[in-house]
Amino acid sequence: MLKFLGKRVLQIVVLLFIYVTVVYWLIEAMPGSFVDQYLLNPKLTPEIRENLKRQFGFDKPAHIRYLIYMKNFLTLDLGISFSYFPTRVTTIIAERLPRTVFLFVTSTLVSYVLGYNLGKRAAWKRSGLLDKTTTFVGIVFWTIFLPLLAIFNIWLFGVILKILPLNQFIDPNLWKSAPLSAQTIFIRLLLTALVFLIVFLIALLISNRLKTIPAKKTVLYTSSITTIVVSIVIWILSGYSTYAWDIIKHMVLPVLTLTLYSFAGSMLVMRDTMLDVIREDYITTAKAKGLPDNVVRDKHAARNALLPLVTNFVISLGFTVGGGIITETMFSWPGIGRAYLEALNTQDTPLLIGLLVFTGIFVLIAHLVADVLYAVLDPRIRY
Amino acid sequence: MRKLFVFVSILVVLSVFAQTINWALLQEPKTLNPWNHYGPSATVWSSYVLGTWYGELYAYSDVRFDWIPSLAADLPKIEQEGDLWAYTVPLRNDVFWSDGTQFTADDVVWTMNTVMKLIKEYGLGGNWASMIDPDYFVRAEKIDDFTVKVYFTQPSLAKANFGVLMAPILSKKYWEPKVEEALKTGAPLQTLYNYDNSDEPIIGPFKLVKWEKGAFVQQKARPDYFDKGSTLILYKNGAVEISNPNTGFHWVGYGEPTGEKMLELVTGPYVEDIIYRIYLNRAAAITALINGDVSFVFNSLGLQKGEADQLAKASGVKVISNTTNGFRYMCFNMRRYPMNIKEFRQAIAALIDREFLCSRVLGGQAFPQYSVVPVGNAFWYNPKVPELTPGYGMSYGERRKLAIDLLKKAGFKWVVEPKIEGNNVVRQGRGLIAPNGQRIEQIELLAPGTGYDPMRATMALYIERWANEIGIPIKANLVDFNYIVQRVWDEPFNFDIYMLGWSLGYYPDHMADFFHSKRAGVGDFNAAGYNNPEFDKLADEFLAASDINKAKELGFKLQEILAEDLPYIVLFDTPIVEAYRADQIIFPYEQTLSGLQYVYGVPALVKTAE
Repeated sequence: MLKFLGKRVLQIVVLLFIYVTVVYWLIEAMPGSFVDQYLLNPKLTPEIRENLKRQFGFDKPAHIRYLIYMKNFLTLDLGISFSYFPTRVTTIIAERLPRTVFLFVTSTLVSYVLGYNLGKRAAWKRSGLLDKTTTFVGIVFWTIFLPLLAIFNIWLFGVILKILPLNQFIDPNLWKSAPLSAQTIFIRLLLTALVFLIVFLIALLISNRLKTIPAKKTVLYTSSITTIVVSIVIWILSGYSTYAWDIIKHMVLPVLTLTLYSFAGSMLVMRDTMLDVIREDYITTAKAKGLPDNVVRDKHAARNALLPLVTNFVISLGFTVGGGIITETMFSWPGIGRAYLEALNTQDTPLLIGLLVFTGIFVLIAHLVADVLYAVLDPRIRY
Repeated sequence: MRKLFVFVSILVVLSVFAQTINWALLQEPKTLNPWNHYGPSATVWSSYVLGTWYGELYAYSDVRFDWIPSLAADLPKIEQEGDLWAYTVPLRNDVFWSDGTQFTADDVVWTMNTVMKLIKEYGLGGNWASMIDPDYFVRAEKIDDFTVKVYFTQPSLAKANFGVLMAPILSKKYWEPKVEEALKTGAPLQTLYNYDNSDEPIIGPFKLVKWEKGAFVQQKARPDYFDKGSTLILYKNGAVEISNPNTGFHWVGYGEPTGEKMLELVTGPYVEDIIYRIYLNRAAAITALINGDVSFVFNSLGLQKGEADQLAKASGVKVISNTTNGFRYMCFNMRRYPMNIKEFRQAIAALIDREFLCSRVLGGQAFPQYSVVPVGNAFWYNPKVPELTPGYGMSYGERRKLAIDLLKKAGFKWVVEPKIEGNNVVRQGRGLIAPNGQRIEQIELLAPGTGYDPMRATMALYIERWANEIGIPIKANLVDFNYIVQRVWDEPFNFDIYMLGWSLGYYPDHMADFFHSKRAGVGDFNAAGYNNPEFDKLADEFLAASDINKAKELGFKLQEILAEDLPYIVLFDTPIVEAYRADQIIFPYEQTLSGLQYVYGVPALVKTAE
């Protein structure tokens, strides 16, 4: 296993360098450059224009700029953004990351939970009403034009029903007197989620060692509910719960949209794998033993069908740091995805490469985790 | 107990009547730091927020754009001192920064000289460098606390009056130690650009309270704003009167303040807070406007037709339209044959029926332009220019006949000569042969694609068709904006004809920037390579003019020369269409060049609706 891991890490490093190089030259090949928009000011004298070029490094040929970039990259320096000059790329990523992660991890989680549940039920009652309905609805949403779905949801829930905020991630009229920045609240919300995750994993480990199902359930449910209640109480006592709630309220519409758009993916994976699993002999044996239908479905079939979904989910988590250009734009949720768009539109090379590299690292790590997880979840797999 | 009750009651009343207005931005400001904003990170979105923070010695009046004193107490006195020209500017003594410090000559002298030093020694660029041109500006000197002398190498309306004297003035007390500290670092400009100036004293009516990154910027009205209650009156006879009853400041210029008033404004601020909400897409901002979440949407490009139609139907929303200060044009590469032949360019101009294109093809969404000074810039626009343009007012057939005659006059021939009868092209021309006997195979017209600007793309295709009808082998090549920029400025001048657009400043010195022969070098702005000694001489005089009427006369002549020589064919521009909630806010006026966004929504004048 260790040998495998070492080999994969080495592959990742080599791949990363190839990736950075390809990305760099692709962007370099685009016509024009960032400084063009400033050089198109006829009031600037030639000396000042040359100075501007020098400030942004455009006085050097492209291959020298590439070598400088790679040298800085080796020291984990992603450079200075052109369009947010002279802010460091890492600062921009750090500012936008919590917003993106909070939104996209939530929607990925909701989407997979929904997909898992619908998928297993649809497969269990194959060709039934639920199977037909969920497959049809899922495919319709999966193939819909995402901006259209976003606009429709905004219109329905924000304009017509007026039950959800139209856009943005906070309400300015509430936040104008807030003692903390939204960034701080985002980070605290993420920390709360992390604490919950840790408690849940510990509870899962403990429950696995327990013998009876009621005991397992008690440990899992008690720890989860206690963590949620304690977190809510801490938030209320801190006096910042209104702000946290405001963010959550603003998140409902984008999460709903993303979930509707993408749940079919995980649902169909789950459904297909379940259909294979339920044909296995041990499922027939379980049924013949007289076990209740839902126990056979959930304990015997679904657990074994979960493997592709889990690895799929882990890889999806890697992509969440990249955010989504369309979702972030449609819901005015300025995260990493939006930064991509801005960097591309302004030809902000350092920011664009920095974002791609950052996302790339997470995706590669997610692939590695998925490989490891495969071996952990399925004892038949050995590296 | 009673005191507490009164205090609480006051708080309640204040909170009930606190007037907060919400405006929408379609992008987040890049920076609110003046060094960075007027330097390399200038964006219109930052301007909307901080555009009124800093005062300048002279400013444009509302609506009519008269050049009037702002921090100055009177117009400058100009005199020659040796080789230099000194502009003596008296300053107002009733101006205070938001930290309570009085505005004095020290602020002006320090700002101008520091910016000059940073430009010359450290390469400060962007708008700072366009406002304070180191070829003209020499230094600023303090005469007394409320008088400064600004020295120039030569008098110039463009570089002095509309340049240095309109540059933003920063607080010396606040910035001097920071700049000195920055100069000791390895990267002084970066240090300055990065400086957190959220506590910076300002002169304008609203001060930054909070910038919640990605969500909103909040500004609060200054109760101690020095100009509150000040009245600006524009008279129809051209006179301008400014008076502040609170401080006793009074100024009259451009004639006797008598007769009918064109505009009278009393400065506020009238609202307590302005929140600039950041929406990252137009649809969301427009929905927010319809929903009443915001009362105005800032957008330098204006509303599209569908959006304007949708908003016109919304209750409480008012849609307004204004002319813009810019133009879209096509430029000939006069370094290449046959674009260097005047009659050839005139023939192309004769073929282009701007009225037809704007009204019929573009459905009235654009208006025709003829001069390099837009019609909306009324003071500087020469109304004779349209008549000087070949083909103006002619029918379809007459335009083609004129174009053929112009080409023949210049010595062009055809393998198959075009034939026009009435308004019909009965025989299409083929095989255009230039006066030098060379057959012209193809002329490339670079134009932005439909994704960037469908109007220019459409117009390019029409021009191609009309030119082809009389045998001019123009081929429209619809490409990416950056590709055109690369071909024109980077390669350089690797083009036959290109089509782009300009947004302009109020003072039309762009005529010298775009067409003076000394600006025809690589990467410079005379992309056409236009070289006319007569034009150069007049342009030099125009730049050096210190009398506005003389400058106007010269500006008119420059426009007439360009209308005949046609290095550019100015085509059209679009009006800027905006919308606001008339049931929430009241703007003091609606008709102004480039719309209300151009004047940052006049925050000191806007009121809440009853």
